[in-house]
Amino acid sequence: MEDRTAHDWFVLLSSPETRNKTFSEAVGHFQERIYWHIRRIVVTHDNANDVMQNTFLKAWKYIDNFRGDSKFSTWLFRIATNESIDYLNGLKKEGQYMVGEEGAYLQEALMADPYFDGDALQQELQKAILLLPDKQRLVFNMRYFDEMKYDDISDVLGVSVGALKASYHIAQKKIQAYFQAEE
Amino acid sequence: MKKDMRDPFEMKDKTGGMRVPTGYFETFQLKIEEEVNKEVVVMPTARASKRILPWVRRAMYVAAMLAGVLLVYKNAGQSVADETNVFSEYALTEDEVFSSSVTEYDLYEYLYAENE
Repeated sequence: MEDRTAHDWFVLLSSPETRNKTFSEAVGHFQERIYWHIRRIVVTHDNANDVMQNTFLKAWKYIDNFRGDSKFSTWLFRIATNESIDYLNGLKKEGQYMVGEEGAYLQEALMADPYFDGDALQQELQKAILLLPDKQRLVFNMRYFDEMKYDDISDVLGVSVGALKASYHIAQKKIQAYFQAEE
Repeated sequence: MKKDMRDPFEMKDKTGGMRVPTGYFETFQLKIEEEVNKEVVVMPTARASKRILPWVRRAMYVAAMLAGVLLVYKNAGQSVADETNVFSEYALTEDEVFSSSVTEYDLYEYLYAENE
């Protein structure tokens, strides 16, 4: 499945005979990567589960919009990213947290999540990441945890590779500074 | 407390301490497959005749009503005309009676008497 090109996905997903089966295969193949990408943005498992369902159901609903211009995984990551950001904005609208307090809210939510049992270092790293501005956090997670190539991140976020490298570098420096301050 | 000397950027565990419930991905895939394979229930649309019939009935009702109203007007007009016709027929009949009872001789006699 890895060697399927964007065009292969497009052909298989366009045909009514193969569409359902191919999409189900895609869910099985990409769900873990998509889940972790979403989870790092929305932090808790419950939030991630909601966003996962929204992501794949939206992808299925708008499957005809996939034209094979980009990788199918990139298309899914783009939907997942937008859904995650929309989800957090929804929480903000509901009054779960105020503008500028997202980092603190997510830190608290992570520590209260029964599906987080990171050790002291992992907890500190997560705290440092959650203090980053949205875009830097996104870039850092995609590069460091998802180990995505800059070109792919660029396709998902619509930001130039140069800007992404700069963002990642700044994020790294901030996290290092956080750890030095903690010492 | 002993300080953790590991480099945060060199961690092997890329989950960052986050876990998922056991069997989550298997269940999730099945759930999405169920949604995807759910038959789209197409509500049967009413046949054109069934959709049009009520409107045809209404149109027929309105047409019948208008026809009734027109008929009433027409009948009212007809009775007036009929009355007029009675008078004119009467007048015609009178003329006819008059002309049929006057002979050519009577007419000459009448004209002659007038000239005198």
